[in-house]
Amino acid sequence: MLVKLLQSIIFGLPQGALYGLMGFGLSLVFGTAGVMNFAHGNAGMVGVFVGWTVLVLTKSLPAGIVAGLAAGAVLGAFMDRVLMKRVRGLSHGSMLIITLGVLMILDGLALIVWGTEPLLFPDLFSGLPILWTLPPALNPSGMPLIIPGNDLRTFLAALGSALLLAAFFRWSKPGLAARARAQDEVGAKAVGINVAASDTLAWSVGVASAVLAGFLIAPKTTVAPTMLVNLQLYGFTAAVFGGFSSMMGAVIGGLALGVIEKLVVLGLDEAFMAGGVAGVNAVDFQLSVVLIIIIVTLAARPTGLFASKFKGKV
Amino acid sequence: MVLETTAFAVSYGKIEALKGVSIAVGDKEAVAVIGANGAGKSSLLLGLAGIVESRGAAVYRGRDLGVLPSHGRVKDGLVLCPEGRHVFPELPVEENLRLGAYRRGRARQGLEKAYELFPRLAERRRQAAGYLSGGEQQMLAIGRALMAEPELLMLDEPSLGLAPVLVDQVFEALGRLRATGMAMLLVEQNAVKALGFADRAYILETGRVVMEGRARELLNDGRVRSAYLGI
Amino acid sequence: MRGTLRYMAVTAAVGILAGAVFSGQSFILVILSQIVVFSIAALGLNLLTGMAGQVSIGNAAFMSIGAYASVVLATRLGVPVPLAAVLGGLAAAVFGFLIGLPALRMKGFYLAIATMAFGVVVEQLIAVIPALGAHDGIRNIPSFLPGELWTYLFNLAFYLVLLWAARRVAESPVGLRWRMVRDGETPARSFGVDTARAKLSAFTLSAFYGGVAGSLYAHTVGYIRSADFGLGRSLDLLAMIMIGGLGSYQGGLAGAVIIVGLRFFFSRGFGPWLSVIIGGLLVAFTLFFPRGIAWGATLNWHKRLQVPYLWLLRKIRRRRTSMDGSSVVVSGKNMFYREAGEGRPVVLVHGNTGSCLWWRDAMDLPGWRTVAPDLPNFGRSDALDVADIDAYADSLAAFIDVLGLKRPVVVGHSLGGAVVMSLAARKPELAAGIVLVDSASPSGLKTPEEHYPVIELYRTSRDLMRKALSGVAPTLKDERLLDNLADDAMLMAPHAYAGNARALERFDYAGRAGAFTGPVLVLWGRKDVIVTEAMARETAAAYKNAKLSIWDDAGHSPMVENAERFRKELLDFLAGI
Repeated sequence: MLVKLLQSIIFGLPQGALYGLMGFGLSLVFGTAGVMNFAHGNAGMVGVFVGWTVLVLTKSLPAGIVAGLAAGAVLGAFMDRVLMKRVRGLSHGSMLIITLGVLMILDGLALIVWGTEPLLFPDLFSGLPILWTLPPALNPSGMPLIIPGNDLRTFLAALGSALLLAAFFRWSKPGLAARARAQDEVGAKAVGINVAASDTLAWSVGVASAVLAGFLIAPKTTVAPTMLVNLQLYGFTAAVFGGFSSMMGAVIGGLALGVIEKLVVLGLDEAFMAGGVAGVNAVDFQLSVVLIIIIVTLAARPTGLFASKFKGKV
Repeated sequence: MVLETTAFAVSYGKIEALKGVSIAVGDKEAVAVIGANGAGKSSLLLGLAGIVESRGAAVYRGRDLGVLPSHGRVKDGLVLCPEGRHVFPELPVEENLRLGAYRRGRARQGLEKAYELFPRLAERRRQAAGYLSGGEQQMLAIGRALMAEPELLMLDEPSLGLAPVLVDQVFEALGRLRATGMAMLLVEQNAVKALGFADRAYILETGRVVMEGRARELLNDGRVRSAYLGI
Repeated sequence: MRGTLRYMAVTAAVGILAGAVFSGQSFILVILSQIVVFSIAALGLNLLTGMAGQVSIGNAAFMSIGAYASVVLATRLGVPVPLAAVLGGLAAAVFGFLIGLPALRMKGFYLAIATMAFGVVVEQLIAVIPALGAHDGIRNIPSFLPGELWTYLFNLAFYLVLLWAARRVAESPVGLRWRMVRDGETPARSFGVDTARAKLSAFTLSAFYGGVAGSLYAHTVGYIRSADFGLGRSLDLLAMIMIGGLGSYQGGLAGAVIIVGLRFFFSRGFGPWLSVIIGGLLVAFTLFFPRGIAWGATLNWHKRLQVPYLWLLRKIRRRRTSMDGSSVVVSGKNMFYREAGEGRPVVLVHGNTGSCLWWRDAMDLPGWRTVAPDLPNFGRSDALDVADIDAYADSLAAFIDVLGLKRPVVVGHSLGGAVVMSLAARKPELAAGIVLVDSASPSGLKTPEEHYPVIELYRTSRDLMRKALSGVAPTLKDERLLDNLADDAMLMAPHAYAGNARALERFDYAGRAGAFTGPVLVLWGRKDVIVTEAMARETAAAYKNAKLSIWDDAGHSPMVENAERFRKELLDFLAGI
């Protein structure tokens, strides 16, 4: 049992790091520019497609990744400067609906340009799995724990980049400006912060981080228009955990979510087995359980678990 | 002249809050703008700071403000201390102050000066600004504006919502700043305080300047006394 | 109520006509059916999002619940389809209530995330239930009526009933509370609105509409899969109400025509383009036409579509009603008037958008000769080049002179009151006494600038004019008189609509009005929404010899709202002259 639990945690953490990275980008844009970007996943997806194309053309993985991230940054800046600037001051509903429109547009464009065939993406990392057997006292069955090599590196890359970016926004001057702008727009203008530039920075980095999450998950999902749709839902959940204005909170929320999710599947599996339920697969319920967690969390703390004490940005 | 405006106007949609005013602030001069609620006082300062859009001409130290974004104005020393403080609630006091020097890049000297002016802030330097009292937040807002090393400091209702003893403290601090030769443009509802403080003053009514003159003379003017001073 | 019925009849007629035209083409009938079905779902979403202001991007889930519930009831338990459809709606309503409970605490973006999550959960969970066909869904759902035409008409009937119900609810206090919640929860609460209950009722009703739509969809199309009601479908519904018009009743229908139509148009091989187009429409409508097609249609109805009808109305009305009065030439212009009785003269001067008809029930004053003209620019009198109070007063003075009326008592209503003030101030010897009924005050009447575009719409829309007049005479019950007053109002010179409002703005006799020292009666109704009590008091205070009479139970127009009392009070005043 202990092995199963630990194994679930080990499988959950790399996933959780991706959720955290996704949640980080959503929180960044929402916390700074005040827009909940429902096109976040699809914008990342388009960046991954661009990266894939460059990779195929140049046969260089680094070139592809750089191109994808750059495309994401440009797309983010475009959404901010061209679309969102027009609705600033309008209702949240308007901003929301525009990002939903962009979600549909990007979905269609990806299908038109790259077709419906899923495209393969190479593993960014390779490496043999690490096997680790617990001392027999704890582990009578003698089953080893498996730590897949590329999972470990994905975990480190996702978590590392999310933490690096969060640290950038925590301590750098532009990051400080973005956070100040999030807390009080008039105050930010009064001290001479270029608010428009702050917003664009947040959008660019936010979408680029979604592209990065896309690259990390692409070897598993293949490159396809719907590749980041579910990941975005997880990102929302992670960001809800983190309270949407705390980027670090989103990263931690993501890790927690990854582990919770695997544990839920484990629990359901055991329950189905014990209850003799056949024909259903616990994995099918994993997304639903996560989404129910979102709804319950939002109902309990309508502005997220670690929301700001000083204002409710909605 | 530090600042001179001609037919300076601010509109929100179809509503004209400020209908073309011409005012001037001279070197080392403290100018007050008084008037009732909704007279357009705040709009004037927000327009001058570039936080809301404006029409008409505004020349600051020989430069046309029309082309300058709000952050450019701060860099040139035209600094607003906005109404309602607008401090950054989740950041510590000291970080709020440091952000005041965002366009200056050097903060150490300014910090010392701000703490000297408002020792209260030094005591609470590590506390999140959201936990400060209204008076302390007002001090923080003024301190933050000073960090930008203003040549013309625009103050919007610095006494609003403060207990009388705190109002006196704030004005006492402003008086010390004025003694250093800093030009000031002060918007106040507390007309007695403002006229007692300033060299010259303008009276705004429904978006227009209806009177102007030496503050002392306005303070003794019968009409002003009955309409604005409640005497 | 009358408006609702007429509106329903027009909708039904258009719907049936469409069915009749395409009665032989089953493919098109299926499309029409789907349009109607999605209109129901979109109407439901519009109640929630457009009226109550709660953005939902999971409403397709209600369709899903309704569809599956109804299919199970109809095919496995033998419940008749119309009943199953309603029960499907109720099943969805239960879920709407349940999702409404946690949603009560959320706002804006957070609510959107929660509803999106709800939609995906329903989609995912249904897809793993083997009894509901899991991912493959349910096929061969029996249609309940033979043939596509009857199916379509059945769906249309549902739409009409639900449309009627939506209007009734939205115009009831419940709907008012929704709109108050939408426009600001805190102020709504301060008015005593239970915002939680308001939101919950909107969620529940919205879900019911979605559920009914889902079950009709299932029985029309014959095949459902949980993936048919996913996020994409919820976004379709949102696009429908955004394109059609947020918060409008028929906007969802207009949006459904476009979205469903596009879906069929692009069904073969162009699917991705469809996504781009619908997404693009969402963005474009939000940015550039946030009020949607319904608003555009309404505006056109008020601006252009009534114009030919009004042209005809003016022609006929001028001719027909000119017969029961007389005309005289005053300074080169025809002036129309009606008169009654014998004795000393009383001149009755109507207000803005008025005519002599406004005095119809006040003209019978025993012992007095009453004369009610249409001022120039109004009714059947000729138009002037300008709209100006002094110009009206000059014409009125000339009119009194031409008819040879000796020292009349002059009564003015609203704008007419300003005219009388101008006359009396400049020619104090002309009138024996004046009566000012809910009159503009001596310092004029300012119309808020943002109101002018609406005034311009009155010029081309009798509907709006009639609505405006019913506000001007709030306690008037005689619908036929109101119709006639509206028709008369449309006879006004085109430039006078905005012109009169500007004239009242310019009007300023403060300090001069008191030149008239004869007896003055100032009448004011407490329900007046145009002239305030302060203005009435200002008017009375402007004269040395004035009496102010305030009626609690009348609005801006006492002489049509309570003619009997008006005559009595007027006679009392006249007796003292």
